[in-house]
Amino acid sequence: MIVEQALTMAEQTACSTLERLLRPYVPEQYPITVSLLDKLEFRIMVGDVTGVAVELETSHRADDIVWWVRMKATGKPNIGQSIRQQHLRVDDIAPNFAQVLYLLEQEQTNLALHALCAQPGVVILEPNKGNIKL
Amino acid sequence: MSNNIFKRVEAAARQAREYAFVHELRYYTPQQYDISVDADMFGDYTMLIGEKESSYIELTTEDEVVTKIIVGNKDGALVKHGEFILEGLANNFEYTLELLKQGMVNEALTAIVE
Repeated sequence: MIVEQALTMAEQTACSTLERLLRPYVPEQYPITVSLLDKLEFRIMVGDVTGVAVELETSHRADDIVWWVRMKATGKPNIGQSIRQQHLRVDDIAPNFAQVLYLLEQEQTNLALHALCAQPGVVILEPNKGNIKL
Repeated sequence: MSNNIFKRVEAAARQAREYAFVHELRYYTPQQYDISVDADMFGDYTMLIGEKESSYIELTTEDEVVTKIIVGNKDGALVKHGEFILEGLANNFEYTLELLKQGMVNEALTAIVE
């Protein structure tokens, strides 16, 4: 029980700290939800599935790199994308949240995806359409 | 410029885990003995009960099981390897530390795993 309690406290702290650190990048009206998938592998949702939302998953094994994103605009189907890149981290993505959420409000889902991942060398994997090099 | 969000998350989680261990182990440890915990990120950790200059117990874990026990005092120390549940060891802290204080290191190593 000692180990479990310590682990639980660490996990809760990790999630709440990540939420707190992301808050300055996200307009106040959008909630931030962080859940832990595995040791330091997070699922981060900004926004709300009933409206607009951006969801990210990170891989700690790959040095906290974001490897998967999904977006939703009100009234539009979700688009989910795996992304392959060299150095795309939460630090890189966070400053783009406000613009991305604005684009989603305008139902510009594809533009929002590119705005989120707009870093040199990022490749969004689109198996049916060929990869898009940003 | 990186803000190192994840490094800050890691640091906060590590601190919380160490605090939780110290808090939980305090129930098993006489007040006069210090407790310190050095945890790596969500992995293994080392706990020191007491001080190496006097009487101490040092436990190392792997995958949430204690795999190494060191009991010692200023004159020397003994090591035992195996797989042990932390609660079982913690229940014996007080008696083990008392034996160490009396210089009975062999007996202390037996007592902590009983």
